[in-house]
Amino acid sequence: MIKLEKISKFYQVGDEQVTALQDISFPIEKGKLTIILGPSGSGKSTLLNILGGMDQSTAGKFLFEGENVTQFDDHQLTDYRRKVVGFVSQFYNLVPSLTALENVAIAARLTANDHRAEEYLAKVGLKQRLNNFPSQMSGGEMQRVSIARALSKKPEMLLCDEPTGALDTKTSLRIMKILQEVAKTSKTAVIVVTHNPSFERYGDCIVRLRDGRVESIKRNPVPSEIGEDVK
Amino acid sequence: MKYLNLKLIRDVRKNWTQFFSVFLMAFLSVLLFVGLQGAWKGLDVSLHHYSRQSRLSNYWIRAVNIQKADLNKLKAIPGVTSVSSGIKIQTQSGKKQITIEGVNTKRPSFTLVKGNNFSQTNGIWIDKEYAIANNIKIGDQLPLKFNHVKVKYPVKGIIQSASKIFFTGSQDYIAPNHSKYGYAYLPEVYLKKSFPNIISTNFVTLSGHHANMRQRIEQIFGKRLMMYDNRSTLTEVATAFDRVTEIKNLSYLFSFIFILLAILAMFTTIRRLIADQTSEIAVLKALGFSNQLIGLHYGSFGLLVGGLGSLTGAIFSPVVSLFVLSTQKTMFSLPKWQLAYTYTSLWVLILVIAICVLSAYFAAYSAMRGLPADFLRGDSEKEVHHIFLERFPGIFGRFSYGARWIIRDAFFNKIRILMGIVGVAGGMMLMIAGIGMPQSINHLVDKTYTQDYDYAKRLTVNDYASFKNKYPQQKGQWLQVSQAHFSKDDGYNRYLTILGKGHEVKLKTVDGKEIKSGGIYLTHGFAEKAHIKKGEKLRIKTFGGNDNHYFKVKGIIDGQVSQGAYLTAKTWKKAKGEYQPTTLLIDKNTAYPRKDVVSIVSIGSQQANANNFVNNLMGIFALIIGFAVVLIVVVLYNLGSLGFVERYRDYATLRVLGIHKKELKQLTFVENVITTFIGWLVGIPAGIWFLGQYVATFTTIKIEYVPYINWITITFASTFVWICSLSTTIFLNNRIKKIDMVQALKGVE
Repeated sequence: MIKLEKISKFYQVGDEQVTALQDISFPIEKGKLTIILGPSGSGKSTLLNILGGMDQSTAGKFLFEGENVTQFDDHQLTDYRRKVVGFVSQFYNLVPSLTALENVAIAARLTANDHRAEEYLAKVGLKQRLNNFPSQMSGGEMQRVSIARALSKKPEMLLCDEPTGALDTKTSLRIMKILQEVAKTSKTAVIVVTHNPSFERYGDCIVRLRDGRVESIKRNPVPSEIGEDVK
Repeated sequence: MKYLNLKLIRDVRKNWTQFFSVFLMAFLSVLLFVGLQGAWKGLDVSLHHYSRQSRLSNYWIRAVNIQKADLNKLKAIPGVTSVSSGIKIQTQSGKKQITIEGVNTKRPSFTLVKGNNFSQTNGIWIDKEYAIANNIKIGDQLPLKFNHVKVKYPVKGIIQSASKIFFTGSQDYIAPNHSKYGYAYLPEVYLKKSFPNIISTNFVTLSGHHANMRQRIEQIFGKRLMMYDNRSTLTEVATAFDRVTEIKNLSYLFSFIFILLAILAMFTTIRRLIADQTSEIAVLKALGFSNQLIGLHYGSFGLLVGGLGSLTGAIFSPVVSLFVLSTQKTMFSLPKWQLAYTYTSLWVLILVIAICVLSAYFAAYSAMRGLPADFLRGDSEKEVHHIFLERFPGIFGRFSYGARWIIRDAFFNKIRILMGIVGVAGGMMLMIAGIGMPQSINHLVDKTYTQDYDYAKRLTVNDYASFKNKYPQQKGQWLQVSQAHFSKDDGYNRYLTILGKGHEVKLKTVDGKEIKSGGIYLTHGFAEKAHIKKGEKLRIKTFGGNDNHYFKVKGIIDGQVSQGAYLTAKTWKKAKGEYQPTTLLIDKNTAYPRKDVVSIVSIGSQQANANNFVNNLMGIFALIIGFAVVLIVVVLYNLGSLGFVERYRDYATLRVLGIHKKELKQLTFVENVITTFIGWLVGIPAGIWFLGQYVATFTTIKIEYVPYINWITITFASTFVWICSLSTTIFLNNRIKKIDMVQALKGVE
C-alpha cells in the first residue's frame, strides 16, 4: 500500500514562508499509471521528490507498505531509493562517460540485476545502441535509456518527472506507451508528473494539483491505448 | 556596466571562500618573490654602496718583505688606481685573537662608527662587532701579545671595514665568532714601535682593474708571494656578495615553481567559479550583452581578486624582506641595511594579475562562444567515445562501472587530471627541496667534521722545525696549507694541503679510496670548475715557493668544504717541495705543549661555528617551507574541488539511483589515490632534480654544496603530500553529504 496522508511542505525564502504542498492525501495503486497534472508552481515536482525519497515533507505521512517514509534517516532513504524507486527525469541524468549499457548496468547492479541490463535496453527498443554514449544519442533515446535504467532496478514505484518535457510529440507518445506498458505488465506503480493535459486519457488515475493542493482526483476505468504506430 | 559591477561585488561576496584562495595565491606569490627580492637586492645595494663609500680595494696581496720598489711596480700596472701597504699580524688579547693592521695612510678604508677619526696617534681603532661582543668602549686599554711581546693600546675608535664584512678571523672557522675573533687598525709607525725588528710590510691592497693581475703580481713578488685574492676569492668580501647570488637564485628558482603552482591554483579556482556561472553567461548573452562586455565582466573577477591579492602581497613584502635581512645580520657586518627592488617585481605583480584576468576570461570564453540556448538548456555535454583501453575487454571488462567511469572521465578531462598530477608532483618538488636543502647543508657540516676529519684539536705552531726538534715524539697529523696557482685552473688560486703521516684526515675519493702517495688529489668542485679529470698532469706553484711542481691527478675527492688539492708529504718531498707545516691535528688522548702552540681550535667549536653558519639560513628555509605548505594545501584542495564541481550532476544522479554516500566517497577516494600516486611517482625524481638545482645555487668557489637525499626527506615530503592530497577527500566527503539531488536533477538553470 502506498498512501499520502496530509503531506505538507513549506520553504523559508528570506522572511517569507512559501507553501509548496498543503495537506496532500491520496492513495497510489501498484500496477497502475498515475498521472499528476498541474501548472508550473503547483507542487508536482516537490510531491514527486517526496515520493522518491529525495526530499522530506514538513508535515504529514507518506506510508509505503506500512512504513512512514517521512521518518526515514538518510541511510534508510538511500536504501529506499535503491530498492523501491526508479526515477526518470526530464533531463535524463545519464552519466556521460558510461555507455547506455553501463548506465543501466550501474543501476541494475544495485539490485544484483546487472546481467539483465541488456534485456531492459532491448525492452525500450535500444538493443542496437548498447555501446553508445549519451552524447551519441538523441533525446528520445537518452530518455529510453533513463527508463531502462529505472526499470532495471525492478522498482516498486517508477517516478517520472516531466519525462517528455524535452521531447517532440511523436517521441513523447513513444515514451508514454512504454510507461503505460510497464504499469500494465508489472506490479510497479508508475507515477508521471506532467503539465501536458493531453496525457490525462492515458492514466488510470489523474491527480490535479493547483497551488500546492489537490484540486481533483479522477479515476479512469478504461485508459486510452496509445496506438501501435508510435512504436 | 553598473549592474554588472554590482553583480561582480555580490558574486565575490557570495563565493568569498573560493575567491579568497585566489587572493591567497596571488598574495603569496607576490609576497614570496618581491619579499625575497627586497632582501637580496637590498643586500646587494647595501654592499655596493658600502664598497663604494669605503673605497673597497679590488686586490689583496700578502707577501714577505715588501719593498718600496714592489709598490712602485704595482703602481705601474695599467689600470691600477691606488696602492696601499701595511703590516698585518695575528695577535692575542687574552684568550681572544685580534688581527691587527698597521696602516700608513691618512684615509684608511674603514668607516668610523664611534670615537675619533683615524690619525697618526698612539691608539687603536677596534672592530664594532668585537667591541660589542666584548663590551669594549672608547678609552679602554686593549692588551695585545705578539711573539711574546705584550703591549696595550688605548681604544680611539670603533670602526667597520668593508674588506671584513664577513670576518671569521681564522681559516679554521667558516662563520664569524665575534666574541673571540676581531680586527683592529692602528698607525703603522706605532705598530713598528711596539714590535721592533720583528715585522716588516707584508700586505698590499690595490684598487683598479687589470685583466692579468694574478700573473703580474706573481711576476713582481715571485717566491715572496704568500697570498693573492680578489673580491671573488677573499672570504671576508666574497661570502657577502655570494650570499646575494644565493638568495637571488633561491628566490628565482623557488618562485618559479611556486608561481607555477599558484597559477594552477588560481586558474582552477577561477575556472570552477566561472563553471558555476555558465547559465548566467547564457542569460547575459540572451539579454543582448556583447561578448566583449561579458568577457570584460568575467575578466574583472580576476582583476579584482588577483589585483587585491598581488597588491596586498606587494604591500606586505617588506616584512619578508626585513625578516630575511634580519637573518643575515648575524653574519655580515654592514653600517647600513636597506631594502631595494627591481622592475622584475613589478613585472611579476603584473604577470600574476594578468594570469588571474586571463584565467577568468578563458573560463568564461567557451560559454561566451556558444549559443545562449545551448547553455540554458544544459546541452553542453562533452563528446565521449570509447577509449583505447576498451580494445582489451579482458582487462577493461574486469573494472567495476565506477572504475570505468573514473577511467573514461580521466581520458576526457585530461587537463584536469594532468593538473592534479602536476599539483601533487609540484608539491613533492617543493617539499623535497624545502626539507632537503637544510638537510643537505646539515649533512655537509656533519660529514666534514665527523667523516672527512677525525681529530679533537687543531693546533697552530709558529715554526715546525724548532717544534719538531723540541718535541720529536709529538703525535698527530701535520698539515701544510698554502695558496697555490694550479695550471690548469678556473682562474682562482686554491689551497694546497700537504698531509703528514696520520689518520686524522679521512677524506676519501668519490670511488671510496683513501689519499695515498704517488699523485695529487683534487676536490670534486674544483675539478669540475677547472675541467680537470683523473689522470691529467698539473703544474703547481705554491705561494712562498718559486719552483713549479708537476703531479698527475690520482683521484677526485668527495669533500665539500675548502675546495682545493691534497697530496701526501711523501709525494711533495719527492717532488722537492719545501715542507714546513704549521697545523697539527691531534686526537683527544694526545697531549701537547700548550706554551709552544699559537692557537688551539677544538673540532667541537668548529662544528658549532659551522652550524651557526647553517642556522643563519634556516630562517629563509623555514619561510619557504611554510609558503610551500600553504600552497600545496590550497592547490590540492582546489584541484579536488574542481573535479567535484565538474561532476556534481553525476554524483547527484548516482545518489538518486540509490548509491550510498559511503560508496560515492570510496569512488572519489580511489580516484584521488590514483592521481596522487602518479603525481607522487613523478614528483620524487622531479624533486630530487630540483633539489640538485636548488643546492647548486649555493655553491661558491670555496664550498661545493651537494644535494643530500635520504629516506627521511622522501618519507616526510611523501607523508605530507599524501596527507594533504588525501585530506581533500575529507573536504569532498563533506560536500558529498550536502549533495542536493533535487537541484542537481533540474536543468542547468
